[in-house]
Amino acid sequence: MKRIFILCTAVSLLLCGCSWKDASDLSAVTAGAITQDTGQYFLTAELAVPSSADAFPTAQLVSGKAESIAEAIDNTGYGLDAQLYWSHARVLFLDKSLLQNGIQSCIEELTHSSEVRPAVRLCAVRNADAAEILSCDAISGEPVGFSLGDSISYAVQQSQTPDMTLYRVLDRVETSGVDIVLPAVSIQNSQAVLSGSALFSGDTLSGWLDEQQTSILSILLADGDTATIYDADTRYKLSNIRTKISAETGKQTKFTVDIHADAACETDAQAQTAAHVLQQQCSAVIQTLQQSDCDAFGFGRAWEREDTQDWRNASADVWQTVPVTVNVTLRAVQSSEGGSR
Amino acid sequence: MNLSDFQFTTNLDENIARMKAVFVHDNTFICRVVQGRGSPALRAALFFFDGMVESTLINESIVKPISLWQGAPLPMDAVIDEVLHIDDCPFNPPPDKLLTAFLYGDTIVLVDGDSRPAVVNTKGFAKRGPDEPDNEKVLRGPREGFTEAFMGNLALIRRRLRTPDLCFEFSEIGSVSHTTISICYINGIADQTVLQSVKQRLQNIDLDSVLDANYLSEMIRDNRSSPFPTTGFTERPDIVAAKLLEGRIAIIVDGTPVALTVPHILQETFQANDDYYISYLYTNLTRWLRVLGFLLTLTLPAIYVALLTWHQEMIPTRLLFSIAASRQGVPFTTFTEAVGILIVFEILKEAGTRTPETIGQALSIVGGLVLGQAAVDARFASAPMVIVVAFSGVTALIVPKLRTATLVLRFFLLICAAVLGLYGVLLGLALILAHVCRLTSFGIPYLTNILSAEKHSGRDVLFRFPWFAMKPDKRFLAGWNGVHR
Repeated sequence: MKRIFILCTAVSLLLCGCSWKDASDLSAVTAGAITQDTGQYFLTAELAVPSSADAFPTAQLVSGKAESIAEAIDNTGYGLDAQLYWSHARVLFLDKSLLQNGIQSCIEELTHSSEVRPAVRLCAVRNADAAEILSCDAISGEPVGFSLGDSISYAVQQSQTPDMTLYRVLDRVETSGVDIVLPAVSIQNSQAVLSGSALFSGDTLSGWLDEQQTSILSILLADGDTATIYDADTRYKLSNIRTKISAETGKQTKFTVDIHADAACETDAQAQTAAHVLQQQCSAVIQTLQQSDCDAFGFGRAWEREDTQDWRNASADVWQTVPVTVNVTLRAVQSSEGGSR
Repeated sequence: MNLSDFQFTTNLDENIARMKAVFVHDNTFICRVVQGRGSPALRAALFFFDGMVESTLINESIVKPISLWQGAPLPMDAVIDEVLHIDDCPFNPPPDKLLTAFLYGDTIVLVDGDSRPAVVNTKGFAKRGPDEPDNEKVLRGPREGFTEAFMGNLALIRRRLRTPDLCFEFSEIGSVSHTTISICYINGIADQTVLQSVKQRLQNIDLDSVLDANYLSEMIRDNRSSPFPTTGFTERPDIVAAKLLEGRIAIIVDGTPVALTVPHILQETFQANDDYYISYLYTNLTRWLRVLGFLLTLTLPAIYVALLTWHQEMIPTRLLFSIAASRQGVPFTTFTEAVGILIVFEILKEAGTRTPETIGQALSIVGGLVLGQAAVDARFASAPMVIVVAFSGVTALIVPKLRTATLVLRFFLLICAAVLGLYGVLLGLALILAHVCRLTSFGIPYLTNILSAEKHSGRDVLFRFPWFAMKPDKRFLAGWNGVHR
C-alpha cells in the first residue's frame, strides 16, 4: 500500500507538478475581435494588465493572424511574457466581412479550440472593423471589451438582446430550422454601444434589426417574462408573457404566433391599444425576418413537427412567403398587480 | 542507593549513621532524633525530606507525643498504637514500598531497640489550587481544574461521582520515577474488553520516567503515526466524570494536571467543554461552526492555491484581476508564498504560546498586524494570501483538539493542490477520509456514532440533543459497552 502511494505521488509529481500556471504567469483576455480577409483570420485580443490593487486593470491590445483560428490565437500570444488566457474572455466581436462570408467554419474552429470557453458570447460589429471596437473610448474606465461584455450580459438578463453564446451558435449552425440572431454593436461618437441585432440566413449575415425591433424579437422568441414596448411617447410594460408559435398545414401552410401577456394599464382600452401596437411591431419584425430569410423562431421546426412529409416537400425559400398571423391578447392589470410602470 | 540500605537493625545510632551515609549528598534530607521523658527514655529517629513534608503534622503527631512520653521504651508497633497521634501509618513495609513512600514525602520513624520502621504519611509539598485550566475555559459551568496533586485530582472526580462503582486502580510506571497512575472507570459501565486492553498496554510500558500523561498516550494509543488523536486529554474533573459516565476510562498521572481518557473517537474532537452547560440550540450552532471551521482551515489555503494555479477560469473575472494586481511584484509562486506564510504564521503562533502573556499580546500585534502589513507592502506576499492564511489560522483555533491534524493535513492538502489542483484536493480529502475510517481507539472505530446506524447513537454527534431527549444508557459508546450489549 505504501509503495503504491509513493509511486502514485511520484508519478503525479512528475506528470503534473511542473505544469501549473500561476495567475501572474497569465495574461487574461477580456474580449477578442475576429476579422477575415483574403482567407486569413485576424485576431485582436484585449488583455487586462493589472495596474494596482485598488484600480481596474488597463487594456492592452495584441494581434495575430493565420489561416486558422487556432494558429491565430497562438500567433496573438507570440512574444508576450505571459501566456494568453482566454477563459475569462466574455465576448468575441465578429467582423462584418466574416459574417458575410459565413461563420460556420469560424464557429467550428472556435469550438474546437481548447483556449476559448464555449460560454463566450458572440457579437456582430455593425458599422466598423471589429478590432476598432476594442480601440474605442472607454466609458467606465474599464477596458472597452470587458465593459461591453457587462452591457451584453445585462441586456440578456433584461431580455433586450438574444443570449448567443458560442455553443448556442454552434447548435444553431449545425441544426437546421432555427437561424442565428447575434447581438450587434456599433461605434457612435467614438464609443462602442449596443445597437440591435444581426440576422442570419443559415450561417451568413442577411440583415439587421434596431434595438426596439430586437426587444420585440425577444418577445416573439419568448426569451423573457417581461418586456417594455414603445409607441411614440407611450411606454407599455408587459409581464407574464407567453408566446406560442404553431404551424397549420393543409391546403395552404400558415403560421400563427399567439402572444398573451399582462399589460400595466389602467383600462382595457389602453390594453387594447398596446395589443394593437405590439401586433403591428411583431408583424413588422417578422416581415424583416422574412425579407432577410432568417427563421429565428424555428417555424420550419414547428412545421416539421406538424407535418414532416409536407415540410420535406416544401421549397427552401418557403419561409419568405409563408403568411404569418400574429394574435396579441393583453390583459390590463393595475400597476400594483402587474408590477410598477 | 541500595534497597538493603533500608534493612534496619535494632541499634538506632547505627541506623541513623547508615541513612546519613546514603543521603550524604542530599541536603534536603533531615534526620531528627527525639527522646521521651521516661527513664530509660524512649528514643526515636525521624527521617524525612525538607519541603516534602508538613512540618506541623510531624511536630504535632510525632515529635510532641514522643517527647512527652514518660513511659519506658516500647517496640515500634506499640509506639504506633500508644504514642503517635496518627492514623495513616503503615508498619514495617517492604523496603521498596518504604523507599517509594519516603521519597514521596512520608516520614520514616525508627525507635531504639526495634529494626521495624513505621512510615507516617506526612506529605505536605507545595501545590496550587484547583483553578480553571487556561486551555479549557468555559462560558458557564464548573471552574475547577486538576492540579499536580494526585490524590486531590482523584478527590475531584470522586466528589462528582458518588457511586461505589467508581473504581481507582493504582499502579506504578517508570523504572526511575516510580510514578503513580490511576486507572479510573465506573464498574458496570466501562467496557471490560477496553479496560483489559488499557491495563495490558500500561503493563507493557517500559519507560524510566513518566512526567506527563502524554508519555503514556504515545505508548498506549492505537495508530501512533496518525495526526488524529486517539486518546483524549483534559484538565477538567467534570469532563473526566462525564467521560466515565459514557463508558470511557480515565488515566490520572501523578504530577500532572492532565488526565487521559480512552477510547477517544472523532466526535469528541468537535465537542466543547461547555456544550452541555449552555442551551442546546446555541451548542448545535457552535458545534457546526467547529466542523465548518475545521474543514475551512484544512482546505482554504489548498483551494486558493488550486484555483490560482490550475483553475483560474473558476475565479470571477474581477476577483482574478484584483488578485493578479495584488500579486504584482511578488517574486514567489503562489504555492511557495502559501507555504512560506503558513510557516511564518505557525512560527508566530508558537512564539505567542511560549512567551509570557503580557509579551504575547505585543507579539501578536507585531506579528499579525505589523509584519503582515509590512510583508504585503514589501511585496514579500500578496494581501489575499495573507487574508487566506490568517483566516485559515484563526479557524484552526476553533478546534484545538485537532491541532496536530490541522497543521499536518493543511500542508498535505496544499501539496496535493499544487500538484493536481482541485482534483488533488479532493484526492487528498479522500485519502484523509480513508485514513480516518481505518483508525481505531482501543479497538473502537474512530468514526463510531458518526457512521453508526444505531437509532440513538447520533444524539450527541452532529447535534447535541437536549437533555430530556438524551437517554443515559444510549448516549455513550453505543454498542461497545456492557449496557448496550
